[in-house]
Amino acid sequence: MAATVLKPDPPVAVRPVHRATSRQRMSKAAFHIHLWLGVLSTMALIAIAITGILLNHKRGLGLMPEVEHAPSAAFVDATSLERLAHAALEAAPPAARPGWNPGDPVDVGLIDRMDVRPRNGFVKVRLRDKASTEATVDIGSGRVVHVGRRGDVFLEKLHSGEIFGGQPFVILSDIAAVALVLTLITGYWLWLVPKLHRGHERKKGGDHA
Amino acid sequence: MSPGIVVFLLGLFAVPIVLLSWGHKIRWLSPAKRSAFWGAVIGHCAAGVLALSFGMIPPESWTPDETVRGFLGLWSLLVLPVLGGVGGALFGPHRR
Repeated sequence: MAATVLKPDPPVAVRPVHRATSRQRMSKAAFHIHLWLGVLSTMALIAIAITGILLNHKRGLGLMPEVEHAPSAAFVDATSLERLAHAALEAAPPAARPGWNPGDPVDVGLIDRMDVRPRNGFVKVRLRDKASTEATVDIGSGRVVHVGRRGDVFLEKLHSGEIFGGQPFVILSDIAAVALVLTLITGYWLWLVPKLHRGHERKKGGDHA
Repeated sequence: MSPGIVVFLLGLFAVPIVLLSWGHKIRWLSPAKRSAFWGAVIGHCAAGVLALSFGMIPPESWTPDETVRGFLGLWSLLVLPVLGGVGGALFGPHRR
């Protein structure tokens, strides 16, 4: 009877399969998100940041007229909105109210908004011209206190992206804002996770020693 | 959407993406292409500064027949990187 000799299989060169851990995959994704979104949104974010700083200091920079005023009459005796608008249009430079002459009825198409400040006793009448001319009118007497341009209106539109074609273009600043948030989160991930991991590894090494 | 706005959006978003993907391969690019890449990067940076500066000119200062502000504010973000790239390829340091 022949004896069967069992021989072990010859050794096969086993190539170590390097599988990325979920942490490594996340770090790689975070790096690419950080890089691509950062580059994509740089210009938009710089514009938003600069216009934001200018808007924060609009009074100091003279972009918005500062009118000190105390109420001249009780709010109950306030002049009608129509008369206040008429006074503002009359006081505005002709370039700011094209096609309208003093004595004409108020053309509401020329007016952007009327911002009433009862505690200060005035109304700010903003026109729809390029310079966003604004007249400050006393709501008690109807006297025009100040006429000037609002430089911050243009900056606000630039800041929001509205300047490029109205409300739909606000999406531009939304994209930049989302990109900024994701870039911040991925930046924190890229900085913090390797540190935490190294600390964890060191602790594990210390426990084994 | 006006052509100026389309060009502006391309310059604002497409050009940086193209430059970044191009920059990933910079080691394997020929010297002429490297010069073109750096020319385009410089062109885009210069265009960014110009577009921001001219974009902030208040609207009451605009005149109807003004072309410089429109070009620098909207078109420069696309045109200057292209010019920078061409300039870099033609006159870059690799030619010395």
